[in-house]
Amino acid sequence: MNIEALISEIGLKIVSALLIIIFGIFFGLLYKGFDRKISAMMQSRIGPPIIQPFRDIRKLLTKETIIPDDSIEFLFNLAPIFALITPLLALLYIPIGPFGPLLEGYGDIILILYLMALPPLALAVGGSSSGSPYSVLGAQRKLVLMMSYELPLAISVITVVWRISTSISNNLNPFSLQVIRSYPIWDQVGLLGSLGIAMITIAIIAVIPGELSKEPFGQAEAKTEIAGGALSEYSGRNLAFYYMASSVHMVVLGSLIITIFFPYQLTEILYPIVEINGPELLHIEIGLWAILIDTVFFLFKLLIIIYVGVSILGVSFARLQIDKVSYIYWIPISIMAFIGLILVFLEYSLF
Amino acid sequence: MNLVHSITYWNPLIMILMACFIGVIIYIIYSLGNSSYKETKYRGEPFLSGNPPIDEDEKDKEPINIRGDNFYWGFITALKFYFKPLIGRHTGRLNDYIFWFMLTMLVVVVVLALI
Repeated sequence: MNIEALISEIGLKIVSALLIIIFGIFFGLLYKGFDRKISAMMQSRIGPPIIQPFRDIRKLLTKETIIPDDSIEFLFNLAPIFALITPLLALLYIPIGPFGPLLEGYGDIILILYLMALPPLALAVGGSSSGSPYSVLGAQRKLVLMMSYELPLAISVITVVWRISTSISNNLNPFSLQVIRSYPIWDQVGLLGSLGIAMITIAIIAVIPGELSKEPFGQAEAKTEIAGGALSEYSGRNLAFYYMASSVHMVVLGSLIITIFFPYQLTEILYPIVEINGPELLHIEIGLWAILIDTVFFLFKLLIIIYVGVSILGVSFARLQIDKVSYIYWIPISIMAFIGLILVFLEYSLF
Repeated sequence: MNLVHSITYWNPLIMILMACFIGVIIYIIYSLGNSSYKETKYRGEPFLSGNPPIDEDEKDKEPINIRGDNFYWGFITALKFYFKPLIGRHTGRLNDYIFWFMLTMLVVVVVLALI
């Protein structure tokens, strides 16, 4: 490759990365607004306007950043930046809509799982370093929560990767998200396997509120109980970064679930109809329109996942006690994911 | 350039470069904030549900800090359904520990033999 082509490729990657970062922050905040509005409507409240998270960020950026006397200042300020960098970094490895991962070939699904574990860790480090009893309590709860939901998450992801690895040729890597997306898991399994994958899908949807510290797993930031937990001493720009980090984390988690379980594109579904009924019925061609339709469809799927995993679960259940959280994730949800794994394995072994 | 373990792969150099790029963007967002705010009077004291701030003369901050053993107590309490049976197995007798060691070895060997 000559130097000009290399420079142009690097330039293209940087511009794409910038667009993905803007996408992650913008839609993270927008969907947070949707979640707040929808949750309010389900509770017969008017709720804030959808653009309220943008206003919150704008206001927080102009406020004083207070640093507690007892805090470890270096860690206290670094943790929110770290919490925002890691989900944005994870977004670069995940397919978004019709586009493949920007950093395809440079990291796999295991790397994404680790990158997704870092924002909660950053929150725990920031909370522990702030010197406040509420923050330390919140940080400790966040760590307990992490230890709880990682087991069903790992079982779910490994089941899908293993099943896809049995269906593809040896030169393809089943840990690559592009491969996972190109070989939808539902196409690889029969009836028994579909039942197993459905159980795994439910288990991973139950992980969403835990990952995002939303109800019924919002113990780490319980405002009415421990005054915001790990965030109780944060203010100004630092709080704005945590706010943005949780929004981007929501987009990352939703995009990952879409890639693993719902990777179908709308144009893929529409093409057979076009072929049967003639192309004049739907003027869809591979090009800008197809990209636009698939992007809108992706955003719709993301909204549905956030609606189910965050809004509905958050409104339907009250906050649990912290010891119930680990029990629920380790016993019922992990067992459900494990039975899903066994069903998928049985189908592969027997049929 | 990728680090490959079995069939998983990762390129740390690209990841660090991208993290630095995102860091620059975050710094730009940070600089968008207004620094001409008015400083508050009681900055620095931790929030204690409206209780009075720490006495500046005594400087005794121990009562408001959560110590390491309290922190770990939280883990044990939150995961008590897991810790309780484990603590029950710690009898202090060497024979029991060797029994559990042999049992675990047996399970591992059986699983390996089956695979």
